[in-house]
Amino acid sequence: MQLYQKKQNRVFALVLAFGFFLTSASSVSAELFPSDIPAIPSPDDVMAAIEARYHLNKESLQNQGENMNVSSTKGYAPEVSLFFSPSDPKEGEKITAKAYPIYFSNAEASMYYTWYLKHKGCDEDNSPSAGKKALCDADNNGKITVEDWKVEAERILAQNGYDNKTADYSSDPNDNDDYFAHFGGDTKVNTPSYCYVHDNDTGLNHELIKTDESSDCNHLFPNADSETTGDGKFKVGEEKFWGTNPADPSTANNGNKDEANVAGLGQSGFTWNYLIGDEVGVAVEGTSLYTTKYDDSSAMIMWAFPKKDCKPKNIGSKTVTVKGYSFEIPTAKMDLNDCIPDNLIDPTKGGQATNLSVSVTATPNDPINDSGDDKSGDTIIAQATVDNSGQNLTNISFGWKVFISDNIPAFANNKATEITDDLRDLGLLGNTRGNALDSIKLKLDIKDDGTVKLGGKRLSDYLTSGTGYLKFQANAEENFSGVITRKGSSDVIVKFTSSKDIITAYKVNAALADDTMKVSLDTSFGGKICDTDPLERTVCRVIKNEIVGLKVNSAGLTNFNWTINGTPLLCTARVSSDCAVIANNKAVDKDAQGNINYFPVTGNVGDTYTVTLTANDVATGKIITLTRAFNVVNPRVIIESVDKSVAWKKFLGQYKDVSGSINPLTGQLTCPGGFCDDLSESIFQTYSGSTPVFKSTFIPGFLGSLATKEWSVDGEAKTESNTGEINFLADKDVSGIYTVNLLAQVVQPENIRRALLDIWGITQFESSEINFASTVQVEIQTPLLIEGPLSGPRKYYAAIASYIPASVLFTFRIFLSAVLTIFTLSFLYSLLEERRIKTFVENFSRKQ
Amino acid sequence: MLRILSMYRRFIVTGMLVFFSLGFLIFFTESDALSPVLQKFIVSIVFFLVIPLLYSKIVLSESLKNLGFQKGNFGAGVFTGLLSVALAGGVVVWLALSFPSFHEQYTLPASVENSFLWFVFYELVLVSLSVLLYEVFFRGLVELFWLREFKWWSILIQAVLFFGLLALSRSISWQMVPLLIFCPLSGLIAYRSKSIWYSVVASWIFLFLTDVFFLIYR
Repeated sequence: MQLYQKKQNRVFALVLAFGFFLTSASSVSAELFPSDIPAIPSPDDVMAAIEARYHLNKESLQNQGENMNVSSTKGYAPEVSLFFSPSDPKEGEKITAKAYPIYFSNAEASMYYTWYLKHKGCDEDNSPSAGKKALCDADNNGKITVEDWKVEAERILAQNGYDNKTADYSSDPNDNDDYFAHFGGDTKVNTPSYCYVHDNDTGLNHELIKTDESSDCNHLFPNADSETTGDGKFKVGEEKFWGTNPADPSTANNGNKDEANVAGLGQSGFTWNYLIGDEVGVAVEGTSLYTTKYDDSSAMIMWAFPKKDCKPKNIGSKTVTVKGYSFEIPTAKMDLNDCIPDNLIDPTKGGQATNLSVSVTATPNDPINDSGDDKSGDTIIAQATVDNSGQNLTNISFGWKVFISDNIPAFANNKATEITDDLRDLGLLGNTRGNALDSIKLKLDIKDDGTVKLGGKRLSDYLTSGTGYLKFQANAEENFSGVITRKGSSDVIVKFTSSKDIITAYKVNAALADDTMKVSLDTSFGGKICDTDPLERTVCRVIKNEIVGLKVNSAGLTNFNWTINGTPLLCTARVSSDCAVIANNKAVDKDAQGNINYFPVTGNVGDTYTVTLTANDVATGKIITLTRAFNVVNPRVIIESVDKSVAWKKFLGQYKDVSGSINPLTGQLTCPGGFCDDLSESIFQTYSGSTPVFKSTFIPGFLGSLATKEWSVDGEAKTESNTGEINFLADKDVSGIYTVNLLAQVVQPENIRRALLDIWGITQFESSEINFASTVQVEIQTPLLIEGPLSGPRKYYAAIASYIPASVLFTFRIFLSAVLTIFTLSFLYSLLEERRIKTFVENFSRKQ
Repeated sequence: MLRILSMYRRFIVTGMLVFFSLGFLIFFTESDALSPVLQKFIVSIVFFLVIPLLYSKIVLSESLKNLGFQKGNFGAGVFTGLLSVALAGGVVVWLALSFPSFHEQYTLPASVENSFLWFVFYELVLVSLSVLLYEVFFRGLVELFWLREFKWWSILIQAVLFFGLLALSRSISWQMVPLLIFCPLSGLIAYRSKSIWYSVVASWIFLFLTDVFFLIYR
């Protein structure tokens, strides 16, 4: 009895454990279940949830079923493609046909390639003329059949150029060149053989059968008189018929025995002397990917023809019983040799590979490399064009290489240095391989110092008088059936000039001279503009009504010519004394333009000025071209926190960084885990009682010293604690907000405004002051809770708690409710016990 | 009064458990962190299966046989089960033929209708589990355990409770009709056999045949 009780308890415990396991395990599929489901969890509800979770759509399921119904006719029947080299053979020239079979289960080398070659005029004929017999009757049986075509080809393969005039066929020397062919390929030993022909229309595979419905497998090998190829006996009569060397087991010297060569074992290539009108083909015998329905290890043995033109004939079906089940197998009664005339290929009629015709161009002419730090060099775009592609550009794979040398002949002599990888490492060149990559861009910002190596050398080692040559070579590949490719390549050589000179931009001073205002470069400290920020060194940001001074280092240069947006930019005596000489006590224009120039910014916001300077190199006489871009912008000012630990930008959320940008300093992802923090630009946060410090950042940067600034916090004016900075005590309560405002005003100095008027006729009404402002808010936050030290078991509890799925927690909660319920019921049940009630009643009566 | 309470404490406490379980299932507040269906699924398993077992073993210290977990009367169970399945099946067929809206509205999930594997999963896992939960609670706890003394009336009362739960928790539709039809019959099987296993098997067979019937019928 006790034993029974224990057993019962164990079963009970198991049931309880199972219950908890079931509820917890079901939580694994927590996301299965949608909302709005009635209280009782019916199977339909759960199933509907599963469908919704996995997006199981009725139509899609039906579609799958429909596809499944016809899947047996959607298989991959064996195919073979032929490619010829050369593609435009001359008469008498050697031509090679290469067969590429696909959708066979065995290796190419173990399949049988029955080649056939039909010369012009050698059509099937039962009573050929004498001339036709002489040309076409290879087996000398008085008829022209496909056997003659096969013999013609297989003799070439078996002999492989062997001169059999001296061969002795009088006796069989037993040279061990016998070969036994297995159906379905050389490796299909002891495998049941069932041969099939595929119907391309219906997708059905028909078993080849005899009249008694037994399987009908026959190789397509050509046979010598009264002999059978591939029967394991290669007699001297066959040696003579095929013209092989009776004393050499492998006349073709390809490792195959002679009989194997006649059977075409692994002969995927066929080379012969082309005659005009020749047509060729191949029947490839192998084991297909289809398995048979017979109760054995067999797969369907099939033949592939180059035109896939082999329609089953005399079709029917036979009943087969396997494991007690009867079913029908489609059948055909036919000789596959009948398919050969329909599968002849003319080597000159397209479809075969030729070389791709590729040409490459590059722009611009005479590009400039910036060998300094300004990254203002030109971008060379090399563009490849394929003229004779048979496919879309997306199917052509391009591979690019870049070479460098100081002279053009080096490229032809293979003495140029390939620098593709070096340029990619420098970040100047992008992808160089890929489909449809028909152009590449090279940014000519190759620094000429010891830190940058091209092919292990400095840039200057490839330059002669500052000039070098780059060769852009494009290799194009077009793919056919994933097997063979057409290729082509071309290149273009680009001369480039390397210089580290840059047009330097300056603020200007203006002063009266002969009652008119003239300008000069502000060469004092801080006079240069757009000189430090890499972005501004590339495109200098300027504001309207500013006068920009320009200067280049004149050392080694002469014959300066300035243009701005393509039109001449002249510096005259009226503009500046830098562009004047004194003649008869009078300032007059210099006889030629110099290395200094000026222009007023009169365009609107968004306009771009491109200043170009061309000059001659004194040493080489070659033209040097320098450019500098200026972009007209609205003046802006940004308020930033000086100490981000005191006042920080408000965290708005996170966004997925799809660019995967890398921090160049650390080499790590800029956004860890691929998620970047989205921080507010106009709202800062700080703790109550702290003293945040804010600074102003102007765009363009040089306005910082030019602009007048008025700071205010909550409308109360603030004076700067340091240049461009303010601070204040943030002592509002939590959730309080401060509004920090900065009003800025930029007005050109009066001399500059007058210079604009005197020199370029820009009135003072057009050069008035510009006002702009920026506002940020500062929110007061609750100081963070101080986190206790995460040591000992607590850190493990915290980790476990944070990783427990919501479903498990919910289950735990429900179980706790269950325990509480049981406890309550148990308490109530005990309370209502008769003994306790009696005691209660007695105690109550006694008190009364 | 207290003496009466003491005399019927088993009946009273068990009744409280039954109504508390039903009330909890209908009115418990869902958590946003988890799918509502999953929550109700867990609650059903706990309150329809686990708590009755714990209550019987721990609170009342009674054998699970009283909940119907026993072989019971094999002959009565099989006979009544077969009879009930046949009767209920006949009613379903008659309803389907008489009311076109029945076979129109009694639909299985698309995946179940279109995929045999899903059908097997649905019938063997989901239907089985829900049948087990219903039988343990309504036929086991309510009918055999709680209302044991009410004899035949216990069948009616458990059916009313089942109808009431369905009416309160979801709208009565044709989809529910097979469950409603078999509820009293299942109670009859359990009453006659003193076991819930026969009603579990009979309910499952009936629901399975109903699903198959509608799949073929459509």
